Amino acid sequence: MDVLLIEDDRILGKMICLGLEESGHQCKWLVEGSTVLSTLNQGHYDVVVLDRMLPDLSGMEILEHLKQASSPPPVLMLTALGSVENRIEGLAAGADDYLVKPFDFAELVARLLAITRRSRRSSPAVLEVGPLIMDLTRRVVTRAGKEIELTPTEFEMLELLMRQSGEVVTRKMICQHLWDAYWEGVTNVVEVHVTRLRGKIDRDFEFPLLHTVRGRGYVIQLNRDTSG
Amino acid sequence: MWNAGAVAVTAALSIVAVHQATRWAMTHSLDDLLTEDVEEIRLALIDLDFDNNLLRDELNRKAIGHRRHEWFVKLLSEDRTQVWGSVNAPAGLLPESNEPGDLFATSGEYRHFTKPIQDDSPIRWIQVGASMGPLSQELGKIDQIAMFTWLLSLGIAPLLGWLLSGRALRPLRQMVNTASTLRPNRLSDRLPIRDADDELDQLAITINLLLDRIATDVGEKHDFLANAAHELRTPLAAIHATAEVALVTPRSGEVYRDLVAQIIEQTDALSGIVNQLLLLSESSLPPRYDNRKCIALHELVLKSVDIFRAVAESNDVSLRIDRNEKTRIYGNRDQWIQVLNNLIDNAIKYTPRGGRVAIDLRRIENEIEPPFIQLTVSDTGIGIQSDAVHGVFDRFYRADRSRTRLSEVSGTGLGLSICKAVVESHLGTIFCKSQLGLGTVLTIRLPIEIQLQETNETLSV
Repeated sequence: MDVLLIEDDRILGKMICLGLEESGHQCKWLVEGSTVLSTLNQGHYDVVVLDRMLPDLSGMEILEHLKQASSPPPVLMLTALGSVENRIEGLAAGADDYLVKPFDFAELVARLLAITRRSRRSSPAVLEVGPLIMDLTRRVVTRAGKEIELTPTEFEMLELLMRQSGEVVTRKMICQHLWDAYWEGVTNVVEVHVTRLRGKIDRDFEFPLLHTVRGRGYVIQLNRDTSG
Repeated sequence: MWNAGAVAVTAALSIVAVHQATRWAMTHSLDDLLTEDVEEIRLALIDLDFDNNLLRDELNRKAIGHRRHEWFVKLLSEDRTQVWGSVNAPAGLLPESNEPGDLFATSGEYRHFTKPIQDDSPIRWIQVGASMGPLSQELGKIDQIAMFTWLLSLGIAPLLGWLLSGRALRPLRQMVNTASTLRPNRLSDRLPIRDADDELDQLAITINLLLDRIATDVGEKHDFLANAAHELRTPLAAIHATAEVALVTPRSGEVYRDLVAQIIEQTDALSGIVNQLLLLSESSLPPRYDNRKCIALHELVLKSVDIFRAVAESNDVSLRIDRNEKTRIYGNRDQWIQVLNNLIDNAIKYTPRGGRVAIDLRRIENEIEPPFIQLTVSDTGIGIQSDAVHGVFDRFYRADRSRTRLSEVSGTGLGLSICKAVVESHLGTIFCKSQLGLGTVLTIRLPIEIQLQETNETLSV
């Protein structure tokens, strides 16, 4: 994934770039909005990450220019403004997604992958992670051929994890997925559900599939390197 | 200014009216005199023969006597030619028609009266007249006096008005002076009450009450800001300490990883507080800035219960829905999810093992009040002391729960104040009933007006 990042905060910009490059993506970082269009013309980018508030041009203005290009890349807006209205405004102006600061890096990557895949995303009828199989049409989950009974909430949570198998899913992403709205409560609701889910899909089997990544979230995958 | 203008116009109009009325009255009395004179002459003509010099001399004497008024008599024949005219009689001024009848007329400066007489004598018309000159002169004098008065009133009216209004406006000016010194950080000043028990005093009292409310609100905001800053300090201190400790001595990669993960956990707590503060500020916005649509409250209840059931079970608390009537409201979905989650979360948190949390959503209709929607979340938890119940909706409030499970119970202390802000922005009420050791019931009531009758709107669940 080739990412064009426009972010005026030096630390945040540097860290996003570093993080993307370490996860195997290319990242071109601009501090000013005025050079965005010429940069886009000089090379190919899969996705643009755009800070909403820049010192020279506003993110919304850049977005308007971008969307007039012949085949504009998808745009993810990054902002400290988090009210419902700001979100609606950003999406209405043509942003493909909207992420409020502070965000989890894992979520940024997941969302970038989602909007670059959006056009060619297919929904498989069956999700598989090693011995764990989820049949989405029959809504049945089996591990090593043994059927596992899940509550609707657990099923939805497992589906999210399995769709992104190998990638970290944060607590916030799980909240968003289950409620379709974030909840900043302090009760460890997600932990409780994960514990129960883990009890059902991992407990009676020889090796765990659902792993906790301290400080980041959860990941479902075979043979996880425990170093995180 | 306007006042003086109005006075001037009114005075001018009344002067014109007086002028016209005087003119009419003077003309009228002149006409009466002329009528009497004509009648007198007519009678004299009957008694005395016209050729008698006595009559002519008498009439001439009268004309000379009334010279100042240019009084005159003319005697006319049937063809309206002058048979005889007194001294001062002007030429012309003949009646224009032969029709019999009394004729008053004004020609030039003369006012004259012509009366036909039915007689055998060659005299068929008597005309008596007098000059309007003296009358106009008198009218002119009256006009002069009136004009002088008018000019005087032009000067005096604004002056008097200014003096009088200055007296009446003095208390208002005091109010303006006091009000202009009010500042957000000096809201203790109040407008003076004069004990006159008039409208101005009532205004001052009303404004003072408004100032009381503003002062309370500003005070609350101030406390809130200070509390918010304190709340942000705790996770900030933890982040700072963790990072500093990490740098003190070289450590193994595993320890660094742990410390960094701790920092992320603390920033999560920090952004949790920030998000709740934003939510609180958003929910006190007027509804038009709000993303409201038709939402199915009963479905949100099901969703919340589904999410929290696992938490309740792991705490050995039974979570159940006593009643969940189909309820649609017009509202902000994200905010109502927060309300339900906060209420259920609180109830589970403060209910010991083996306890019970129950949710009840229904429409209530009775004969005493208009129908409303009622949502209750009740628990068999530890309860709140009666003197502390009123404070549960305060921002950053945390009841003294030190006797029970404090280690497990944490929160920002904003949950219930967010609930209150959301409920009130949806025109509802929220109240809390609690008995120490027995449990707590939180009740939300929403007016039925915001329940949508039309079902064609898209439901978002």
